[in-house]
This record gives sequence, C-alpha cells and structure tokens, in this order.
Amino acid sequence: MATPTVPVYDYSHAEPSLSAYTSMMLKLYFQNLAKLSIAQVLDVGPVCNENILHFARRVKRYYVCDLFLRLNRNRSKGWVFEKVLDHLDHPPGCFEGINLWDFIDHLKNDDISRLVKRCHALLAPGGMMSVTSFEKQWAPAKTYAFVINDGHQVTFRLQRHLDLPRYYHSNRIMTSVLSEFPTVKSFIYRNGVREFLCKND
Amino acid sequence: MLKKGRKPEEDQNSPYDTTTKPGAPAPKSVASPSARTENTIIGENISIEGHIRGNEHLVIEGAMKGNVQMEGHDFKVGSRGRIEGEIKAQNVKISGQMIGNITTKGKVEITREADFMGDIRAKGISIEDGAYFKGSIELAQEPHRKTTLSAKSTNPATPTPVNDPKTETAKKAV
Repeated sequence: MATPTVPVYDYSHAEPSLSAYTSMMLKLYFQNLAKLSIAQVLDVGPVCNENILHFARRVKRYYVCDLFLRLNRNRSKGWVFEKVLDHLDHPPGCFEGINLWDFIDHLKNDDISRLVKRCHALLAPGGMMSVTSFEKQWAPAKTYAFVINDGHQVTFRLQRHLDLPRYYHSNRIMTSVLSEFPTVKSFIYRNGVREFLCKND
Repeated sequence: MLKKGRKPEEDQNSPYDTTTKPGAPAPKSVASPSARTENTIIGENISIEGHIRGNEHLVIEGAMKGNVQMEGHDFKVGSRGRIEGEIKAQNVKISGQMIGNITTKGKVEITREADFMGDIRAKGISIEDGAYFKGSIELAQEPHRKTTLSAKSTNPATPTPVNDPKTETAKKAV
C-alpha cells in the first residue's frame, strides 16, 4: 500500500516572537522626511528589496551600505569592528535619515557607541536616525530583515546568509548610547521590538 | 572567449539566457540582421581594458576595466565576471563583482551572488537578499508620482546640500 504523501513544511525560520507589527516610528519618520525637499537616506542593511523600493520612491537618493554582511565577513578575519565602520566613509552631515534597524543588537556596548557617534556625524541638522532593538526575552536567535509593507506594517524575513551573534542592551544602555541626540522618541511593542527615533535637532 | 549565442525563440524575453540546446546550430561568429536577439559573451578567461559600445546584448563572464555604452540593449555581469567601469544600458543584471555606476532606462537586477559598489540610476530595481551592496539608488520619478517627497518642494531654487554624498562611491573604490 502506498504511503500517502505528506507535505513537508519548513518552520525552522518561524520564530514565535516575530509577529508583524505596525511601526509608529516609521510613520513619524516618513512624516518628517516628507517635510524635507531633498532627502537622502542611508540604510545599513541587510539588503532588502522591499525597503529599498519603499524609500527610493520617496526620497531623492537612497544609500545602502550593508554593514550586516561586512560584519559577517569580518568575523572570520578577526572581528575588528573599526574595519566595518570604515565603510561609512560618507561626508559629514550629508544624510537626512539613517536606518540602523537592529544592527546594534549585533554589537557590543563599546562598538555601539562608536557607531552612534559616526552616524550622528553623518546626519544633517534636523536629520533622524531610526533604531530598533529586541527585548531580551523576545530576541530571535537568527538575523532577520525588517520588511516594510503598506501602512507602515513591518514583517520579518530570515537572512540565511548571515550568522551573527546577538547581544541584549537594556533600556538604560540604549538611553545612554543615544544621548548624543537631543530628542529621542521610543516605542515598544508586544512582540518585544523597541524602536527609537533620534533627531539631530 | 568571445561568443555569440542565438537565444531560443521562446526565451526572447530573457536576454540573459545564453544556453543552447543540444543539437542546436553552433553559435554564430558574425553579426546577422537579427543581432538584437543575440548575446555577445566575453568568456571567463578573457580580460578587457577599454571601452565598449554596442548594439546587441552583452554578457561579461571574464574581467573588464572600462565603460560600457549600449543604450537600448541589455548588459549582464555573470557570476564569475568582474568589472570596473560605468555602464549605460537598457537593462542591467549583476551576478558577479562590479565597481562602478549604472545608468539605465529600464531595470537593474542584482542577484544574491553579486558584490556591487556604485551608484544606480534606473526606472526599476531588484536586489536579492544576500547581495553585497554599497552605493546609492535613484529611481526615475514617474510623472504621476510628483507628490513624492522629492517633488514636494514648492521652491524650484531649493539649493542642493553642500555635502551631497553622491559620493562617487565607485570612483573612490576604483
């Protein structure tokens, strides 16, 4: 008797905490970008086509510098974060927006401070930096792209090519490292995502 | 090795497919009136230094240093291809390494194997997860999209920022 065919589904990537959410930070971010006649935005990755299209259709020029992939490649070469940071070699004050996503969750505290200082220098007056970070108990084991959908809804897509460690940073540490910015708005969601919108007033 | 591959009739919409079926006629070595449907392939053991202008599709599997100008035709860097230079073509697909800027009237496609540094101006873009990308993207604004951010300025004399990071990402790297 033939064995019935059973469909096999791959749930290995589906981490239970990663439910979609509607981002208040992105709503504010886009509202602010819309006020600028010429907006140039930098994204540190991971490369995500939906996000590229979403921003590139709304800003004058969208820059991508995939630090996630650089960090991943550097792990085998001795894990020197400065080498990764060297890729942010843009002139000071040239961006109205910087998207860090959850890149800082893959960095140690000292490295976060260096990254935030560099990004602060790259922002134009009035520019904004968006940061996301997971609460400890909700942090996924793997690396995901935050994918922007209509209505500022964010879904997650596993980045199979990335194998990066994840560090937890408490709210106190986050507040401390983002203190370069005079204005920081923060949001927290049921899925454990924390969002920070930092403005360079 | 320079090759010309006639594409199967059914694949005429995928200009990058250069495979030939067993028993199919050998690749032609001279241009024909139907050159538009052919790809010129620069093989992986070939290195070129200099500029290319052309009127048919081009695939680079080898190494090239120089500019490519072929508006109206498609250009591809294969997964083993390496190129440093400016590309002007109808549609561009990058699967190998490229340092340089791309200007197209059509679409740019960057696959997961690609390592790209440069600036892109195109009507459409597609970048696969896993591709390395450093550079900028400027999409051609469609007329009905004039309500987008960049067009919201009512002052036509809005100055360009002093620090435009149109960084010549590619130039630096080259």
